[in-house]
This record gives sequence, C-alpha cells and structure tokens, in this order.
Amino acid sequence: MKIRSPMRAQSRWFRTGVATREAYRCAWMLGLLVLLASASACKVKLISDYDEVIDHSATELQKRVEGFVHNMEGAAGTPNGTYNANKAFYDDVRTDISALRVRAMAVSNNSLTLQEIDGIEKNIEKLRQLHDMGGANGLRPAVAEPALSALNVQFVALLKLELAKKRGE
Amino acid sequence: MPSLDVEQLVSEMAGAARGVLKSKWPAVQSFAESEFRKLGETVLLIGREVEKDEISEVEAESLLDMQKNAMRSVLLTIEGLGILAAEQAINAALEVGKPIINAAVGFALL
Repeated sequence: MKIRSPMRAQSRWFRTGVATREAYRCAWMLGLLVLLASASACKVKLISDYDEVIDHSATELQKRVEGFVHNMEGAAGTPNGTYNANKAFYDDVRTDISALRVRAMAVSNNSLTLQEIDGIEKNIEKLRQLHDMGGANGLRPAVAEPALSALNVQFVALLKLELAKKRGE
Repeated sequence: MPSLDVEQLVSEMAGAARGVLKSKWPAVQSFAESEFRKLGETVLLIGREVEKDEISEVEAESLLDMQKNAMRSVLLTIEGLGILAAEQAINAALEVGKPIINAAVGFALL
C-alpha cells in the first residue's frame, strides 16, 4: 500500500471547491470581526470632527470681508477707496486664509473643508482683481454687492458643514 | 440678457440634487434650495446691472465666475451633509445590531 505524505494530501484537499468555499467563509468572518472590533473602539467616522478653530476663524474672516466691502462701497470714487490704498487688506486676508488652510490640513478626512477654503481664496482673488479694475472708482456698489453675495454664500457653506460635524454633541 | 426664472432654476437644480442624493435629500433640502435661490437672484442682478451699463461685461464675467465658485462650495457642503447622513445611518445600524452581535459571539465585542 502506497502511503501519501500529509503535505500532498493537504494540498489536494485545498484544491477542492468545498475547501475554497470554507476558506472564503473564514476570511469573510475574520474581516467582519476586524471591522466590528474596530467599530467598537469608536463610532464610524467618514468625515472629520467639528473644529472650533475653523468655525471661529471663518466667522471672523467673514466679518472682516463684509466690513471691508461695505467700507469700500462707501469710499468708492474717493482716493481712500482705490485698490492701491487698500492693498494691505488683501495681503492680510491671504494670510488668514493660509492659516485656515493649514489648520484644516492638520485634520484627517477634511478634504471637503479644504476645497471650500480654496474656493473662498479664489473669490477673494477675484474681488481683488475687480477692485483693481475699478481704478479711481474703486469698488462700486454695483460690483461689490454681487461679489459679497458670492463670498457670503461660500462662508455659509463652509460654516454649515463645520457645524453639521458637531453630530448633535 | 435673457430673462431668468429663479424659481424654475431652483426647482431644476434641487431636482437634480435630489435625484443624486435620494434618501439623504431631506437633510440638505432647505440649505440647498435657499443657497440655489440666492445664487439665482445674484445672477439676475448681474444681468440687470449689465443692461443698465452699471457694470462692464468684463466685470460681469468675473462676477459670474464668483457665483460659479460659490455654487461649487454649496455642492461641496451638500456632499458633506450627505456623507454625515450616511455615517449616521451606519452608526445607527451598528447600535441596533450591537446586542444581537454581542449575544452571538458571547462577549461584548461592540
């Protein structure tokens, strides 16, 4: 009688369909257990947590931008309202946005917030260009109002998402 | 500039978003509709200012770009609110399944 080695017998057993199904089932159960065990450590989070700093910084930035645009509307047509007289504001705001972005980048699962910050930066740049284009007239109300409206929609969008991340806590 | 029906615009944009978000739509509906309306009204205002020669076409183009960027921000927030709703659903399902799973494995896994 021929004696088969245990290794050969085992490899034959693994080739059968039953064994394959068994292996899949075990792998699936193991995966489920790992998933459940990790879920037990904390709740599932698909998006970053609420960040008080982002909330407050964005609120402050919105106030600054709105206050500036209203001042510029009042100063339109005067030397104080020209782009050259107000370049410093745009530099400051760029710095604020950069700080906001760095903060948002430090948090994982925060890509939507980062994209929203990028969108605000793009519109601040558009506002700067419009102000510059205005020459001696500066930022006229006819230009300033729709520009501010777009920026406010963006600030609301950013804050709405940030506040929703509180998840009822 | 051709006339723009803001309500029709809001309704069509909301319809498109609702189609994609399906069950998550109620969580974002009021925010989405209100922001779509604001953007539609601003586009209308830009058109009127161009007609009155209050703003140039170059300025109008930049202002419309700004509205497009704002629209992107609204859509990003809608996406985020949808993800949060999905997250809530997963956690609610895990919570409900907790006693059943714990009983099945014989220890407090969840």
